[in-house]
Amino acid sequence: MIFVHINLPKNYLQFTTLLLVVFVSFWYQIDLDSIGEEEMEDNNQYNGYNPWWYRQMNERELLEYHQKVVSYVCLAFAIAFFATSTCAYSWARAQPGSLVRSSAGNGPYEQRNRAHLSAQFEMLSEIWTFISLCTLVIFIGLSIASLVLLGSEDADRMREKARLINMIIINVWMVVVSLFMMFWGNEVFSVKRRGNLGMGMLYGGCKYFSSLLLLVCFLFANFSFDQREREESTWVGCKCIFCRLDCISEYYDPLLTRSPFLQLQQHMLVCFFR
Amino acid sequence: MSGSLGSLAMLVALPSFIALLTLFFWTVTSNIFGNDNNNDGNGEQQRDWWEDMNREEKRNGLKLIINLLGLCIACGTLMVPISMARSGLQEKFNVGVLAASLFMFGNMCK
Repeated sequence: MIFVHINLPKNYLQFTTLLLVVFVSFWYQIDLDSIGEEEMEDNNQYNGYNPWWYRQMNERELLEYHQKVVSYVCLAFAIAFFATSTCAYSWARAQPGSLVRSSAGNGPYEQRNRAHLSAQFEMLSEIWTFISLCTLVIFIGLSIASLVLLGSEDADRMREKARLINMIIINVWMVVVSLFMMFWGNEVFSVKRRGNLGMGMLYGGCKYFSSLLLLVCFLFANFSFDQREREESTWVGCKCIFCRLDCISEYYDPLLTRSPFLQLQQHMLVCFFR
Repeated sequence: MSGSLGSLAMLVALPSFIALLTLFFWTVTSNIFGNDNNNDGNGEQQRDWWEDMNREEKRNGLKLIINLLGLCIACGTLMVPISMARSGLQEKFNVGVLAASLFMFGNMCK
């Protein structure tokens, strides 16, 4: 049997973030473009999941059905992963800091070139500030652009398909996540008080944040094999920006690989915890 | 203790991975890309692949499949931080990696 002592989040910010996640997730589930079930009942005798009805669906209905299923399943996963992440974080925070295994002057870390590590640390700190600020500015710009689109001529058409609402919600949510990443990274690089845990979270967060950006890029990518449609599309500008954003995200992994992180966390342990 | 946390994370991640894979294959093998009901009202039954892929439903279906594939890959890579957290070496760093990875993957799912 697995027994884990779950610490409830004591940090106000953490708890608020959790509530916000649930709230936004709930609103994101509202698919304004879906065919009403009453309409389905009239047309196809829809009564929940029915294999016969499933086989009779046309492509549009089938796609919406799949999107709805994927959406609900992913929401359940998201909540489960957030809960597990909170458990892990609460447990790790409650633990005392790891002991520095090296003795004074003889340990392997003492023999390293401290000047080199400090320079690496400063460089990573500057790169982090630049990348996180770029990401934040781009997402704020995209959020403002999507809000401006609400008043455009195409707004009604876009509102019908609920794309605009989804885009605004996702952009705003990405601003929140980018802000979280920026403050978290600055805290680790500037205050230097999180030690092992902070560096670990920064490392893991960076890797999956780049994947998140990649997924958002795919989400907004407007696949079109027809040149005319591509020119008429309102979403081309957004697509280009997201593709550039994806290029920026590609810098995360080569810059923040595991070895400098491990070196830096050991450096921090030696410098700041002794 | 981090071993138990790793087991808990595995308990969440493994079924998620299986479910995402199932959803992926279910979507791929569905009739979204089938041509059995391909009548759009213009009497055109026969379409070549190029024209067919220009239809909005097909494009959205393709997008859904790519997103599901991305989620499957990301969920599969979660096994690395989980196994490292279970190893017990450099505990706080590895649990930190695990916590942040799970948090970001939760964001990806949402």
